Amino acid sequence: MPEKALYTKNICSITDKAADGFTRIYFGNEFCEHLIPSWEIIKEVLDTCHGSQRAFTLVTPMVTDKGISTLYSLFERLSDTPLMAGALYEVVANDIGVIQLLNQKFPSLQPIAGRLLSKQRRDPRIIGCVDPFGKNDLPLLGHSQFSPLFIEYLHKKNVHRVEIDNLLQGINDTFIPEKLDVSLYFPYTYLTTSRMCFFNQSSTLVLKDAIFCRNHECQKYRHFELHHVRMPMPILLKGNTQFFENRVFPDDVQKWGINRIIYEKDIPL
Amino acid sequence: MHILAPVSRYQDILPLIDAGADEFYCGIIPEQVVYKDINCHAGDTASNFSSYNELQKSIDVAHAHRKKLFVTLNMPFIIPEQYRDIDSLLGTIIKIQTDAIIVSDIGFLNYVKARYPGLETHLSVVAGATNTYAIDFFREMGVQRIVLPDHLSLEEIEQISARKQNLAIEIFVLNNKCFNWECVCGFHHWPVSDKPRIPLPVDFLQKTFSLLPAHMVEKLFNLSFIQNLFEIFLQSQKHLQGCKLNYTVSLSPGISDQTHLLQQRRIQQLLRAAHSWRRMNQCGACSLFMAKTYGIDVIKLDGRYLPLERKVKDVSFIRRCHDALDCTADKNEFSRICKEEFKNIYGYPCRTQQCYYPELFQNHA
Repeated sequence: MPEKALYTKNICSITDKAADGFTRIYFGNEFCEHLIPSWEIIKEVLDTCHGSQRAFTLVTPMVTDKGISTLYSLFERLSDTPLMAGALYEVVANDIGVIQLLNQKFPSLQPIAGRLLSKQRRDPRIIGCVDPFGKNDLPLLGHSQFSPLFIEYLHKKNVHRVEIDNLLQGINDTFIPEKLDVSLYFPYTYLTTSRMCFFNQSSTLVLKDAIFCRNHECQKYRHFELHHVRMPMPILLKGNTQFFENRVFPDDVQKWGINRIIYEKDIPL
Repeated sequence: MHILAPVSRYQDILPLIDAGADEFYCGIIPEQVVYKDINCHAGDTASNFSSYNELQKSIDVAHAHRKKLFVTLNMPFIIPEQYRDIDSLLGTIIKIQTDAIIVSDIGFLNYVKARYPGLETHLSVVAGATNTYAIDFFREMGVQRIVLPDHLSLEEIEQISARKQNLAIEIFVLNNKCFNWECVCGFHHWPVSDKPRIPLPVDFLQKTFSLLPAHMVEKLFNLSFIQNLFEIFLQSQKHLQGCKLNYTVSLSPGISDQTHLLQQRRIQQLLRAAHSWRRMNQCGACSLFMAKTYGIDVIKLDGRYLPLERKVKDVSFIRRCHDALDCTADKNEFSRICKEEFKNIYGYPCRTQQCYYPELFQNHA
């Protein structure tokens, strides 16, 4: 049976009864460097994980140098924290620079290649789209997770687990990575993300106001839905990121090396 | 700094050399390639050479004028089934003396470096080198040049450039800036319709809008009549990216409070502003002043898909701004010159909403 991980941003949900059966906690943010949690909060989550005998994974976003600097100090503290049952703390890296940082400076933390590094075609319109070149390229749509040569390079960087999304087109049969663990996010599938945040409040309503995060406005609202006749399902917009929901669980996940399911309690932002 | 110009036809080369281009990049989708989805605009015939012969002629002309030409193979989804196919393409374009290739897929880059160690490789914007550790990673992989993501601020570009060492750094300053991070965007560029494409009269719209104050343009775009016109245009597009759909925003189920209703309206308006303004031509020419200080090596112009006339205007504009760097040491004066050149070349003034870099937005506001 695949390991069950709970992805949450709410510390209370770790001790909630609904969290029974989850052996690992995913905590952090994948999409915005302004939402990287402070060490104090991470420490609290770590203590809760220790208390409830759950493993801990820190999730990190794509970052600029400012974000690298924030993560650097978090990694310093995390790598100094006593291990739980001897298992290394995991860090999900959604930025190739974060993998490099972990490799160069924090070998005691276990890097994981996050889902933003899996170059998947996520567009819900992929079902039934027109092949621009005849029939040759259409079968390629389902591929494109982590190519073997990428995986080979990741191994050199001490990455032995990759993460993927639960796409409408399913998982391609040729995606059977050897010597590699795979995690699957469920049920919210990441679609796209931006540096500009639609949740920022402004009085002038010009685009420049959407660029700068001011007061974590995204945390004050639920998500909004984007509808269009060309899009087969609503797109879920929260902050700077768009998702869609796919509650159809793929059959026989272990066939593809998927040995961890990351359950997203809410939209993970 | 070099000016790197897009080309998509043999006929583009000479006029763009005359306009001031130092280097060229192009895509090529030859008939012989089985899997054709090999660069980010592969489905758009206006963006790519269609034969080796045309590429060969273009390289010959460029080289005769001591200019370089690079080929982009920057699809982030290149998979092993395609390697054999692309291998024959690579063999041919190397033989006809392509100066470098532009790539983004890490696995494919690994493959190219192992198989063609002498081939110069540039890292595409689609790879997403957003920080100095990412730059280190790709340097280790053996790339010679890196195109920085266009969402980085000038301050962030400066930080990266300070640690570039032996790498050349390219930045974008003109034309379409994707709203989302290109490097992690899951929307595809595949056609969703067989209908022919109706080109948007960008220059005409720009001129019209430039006569109106910005807030009035924003209001105009919120009129349902204008929205419907846009929708008709959008529905005619063959390549309709998911980010360009004219979405209607609704509340999540079970939510109806006043705060969310207000935010819903705000998001809808912002979405429409983004939707309309992103279709216009964005410009960051004023940033050349800082780019020079930061030691940026190459200024890249977007727009393989644009008609030659427009490409010539773009190169001429950036060349004039670039040359003006030698005439002034004052940032504000340089910015004034850029605005003047913009109006001279395009026939309408530049606008705040078109600024490429957040800092420039703020300076203009």
